Amino acid sequence: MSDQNVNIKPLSVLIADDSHLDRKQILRCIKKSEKLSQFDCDQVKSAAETISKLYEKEYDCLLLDYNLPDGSAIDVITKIRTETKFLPIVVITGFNNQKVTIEVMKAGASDYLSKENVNSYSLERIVTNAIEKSQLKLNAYKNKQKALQNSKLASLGIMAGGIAHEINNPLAILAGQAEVYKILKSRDLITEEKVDGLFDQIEKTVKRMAHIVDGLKSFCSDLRNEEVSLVSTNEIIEKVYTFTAAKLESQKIPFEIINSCDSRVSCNSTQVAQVILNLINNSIDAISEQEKPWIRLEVSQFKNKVIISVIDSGPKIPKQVQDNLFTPFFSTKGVDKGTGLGLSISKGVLGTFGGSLEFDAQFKNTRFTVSLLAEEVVKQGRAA
Amino acid sequence: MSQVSGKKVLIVDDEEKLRSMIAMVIEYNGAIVSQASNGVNAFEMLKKQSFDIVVTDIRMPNGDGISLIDSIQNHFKSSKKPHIVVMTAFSFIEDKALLNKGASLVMKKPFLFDQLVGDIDCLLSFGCKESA
Repeated sequence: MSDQNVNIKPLSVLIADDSHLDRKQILRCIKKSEKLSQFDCDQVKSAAETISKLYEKEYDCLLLDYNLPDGSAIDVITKIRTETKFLPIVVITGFNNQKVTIEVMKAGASDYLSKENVNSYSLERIVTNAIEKSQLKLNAYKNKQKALQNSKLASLGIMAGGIAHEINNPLAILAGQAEVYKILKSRDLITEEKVDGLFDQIEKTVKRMAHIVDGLKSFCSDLRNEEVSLVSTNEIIEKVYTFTAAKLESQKIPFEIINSCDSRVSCNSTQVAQVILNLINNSIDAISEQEKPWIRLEVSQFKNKVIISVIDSGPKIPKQVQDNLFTPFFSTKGVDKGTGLGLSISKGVLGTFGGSLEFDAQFKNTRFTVSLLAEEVVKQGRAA
Repeated sequence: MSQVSGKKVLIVDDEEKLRSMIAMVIEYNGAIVSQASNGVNAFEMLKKQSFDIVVTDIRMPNGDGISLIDSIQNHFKSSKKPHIVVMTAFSFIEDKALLNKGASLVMKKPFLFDQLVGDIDCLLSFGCKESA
């Protein structure tokens, strides 16, 4: 935003200060400033009034005294920032104290000015800067949202393409089955057994298409349940183990859990358990024919991330398959076994609470890693 | 008599059922048919023996149709190059791009098998490049 824009638009500022004299001083400076003199100014005396006034009316800037009788600027800013990240807030500090300035900036203030430095020039500079900075931030945020929306649309396109692909293949098979019938008939080779066989195949093909539609249904419902909380990784691992133990035992696949930490992570535990179950099921499908198959689950914490790895005795995945691992409907499994949606759904689900799913191309066996945000990060994130 | 009669045809598709049905129909028209389940295997077969026509799917694990077309274009002299018929169930690549890459014919799934044989006939008779 240019200086001119700040001037042309009738902007409004809320002055929050319990001292009548200080408010008067600030007002005087505003009226004296060339750029701020046209601002529409309102005044409040307490933290509570500030909050309720902000609910009532939209302001372009808040001039906030550090010490209000019913709360500090930190409390007010924290409350405001849960609603909006873009309101320019300039804190007027009574004391030129570095600790205070760091605190208010950390809480989310746009800038600060100590009381003894308040004059029309300093106020004009700081307020116009804060408004411009916020405008830039808002624009960047809007652009990011737009890009996100575009990428959502793009993945929707890929998804639709995948559905078309998955439906067209069985349709081609159905067309072929009709053709086979015609050929058999023209050669007088129709027997009851052959007709039964054809109908059996047609049924299977239709079931396959229904299976794809079912996969889509669970894709949608999984995305709807989004409750996120702090849970212990042990709890997730236990959940996973309860569901897989029997299958692993029946397939005689040795399963090992190496748990080097019990951290609390921010996620939807059911969804994470499903993701890990899905990875283990993929492993079982891939290695069950091997002579000495094994699966290992490793939990470790690396800096702010908790990594849960699913490693199996399978060899490295070919480059061509690697490139398509997370593409919806891509599958190396037989048509009756996989929908090709598992990994792409898993990646999307983990992304909703800041986690991620990666394939480790460097590892000598097959290794997928689920990363989740550890508790500390979540706490820091909230405070910042 | 169909033009494919006596011709050597390689069918490439990871969909086993579809592949074997196409093979059956083309065989019924007198062709000598071989099958491969992906592009990599198909190219190995092409290096060992000559084929008149390759009918290939695009999206396959372990060697997709596009890479197969590229390998054929790079490896064979034009006189020994087989005709390439592409089948797509859905592709973000446009038909024109496939034809430019070297495909002679693009068939969109689901197609009628009569049509596939008819179009290949037309291709062999007139060398026409057209999209079904």
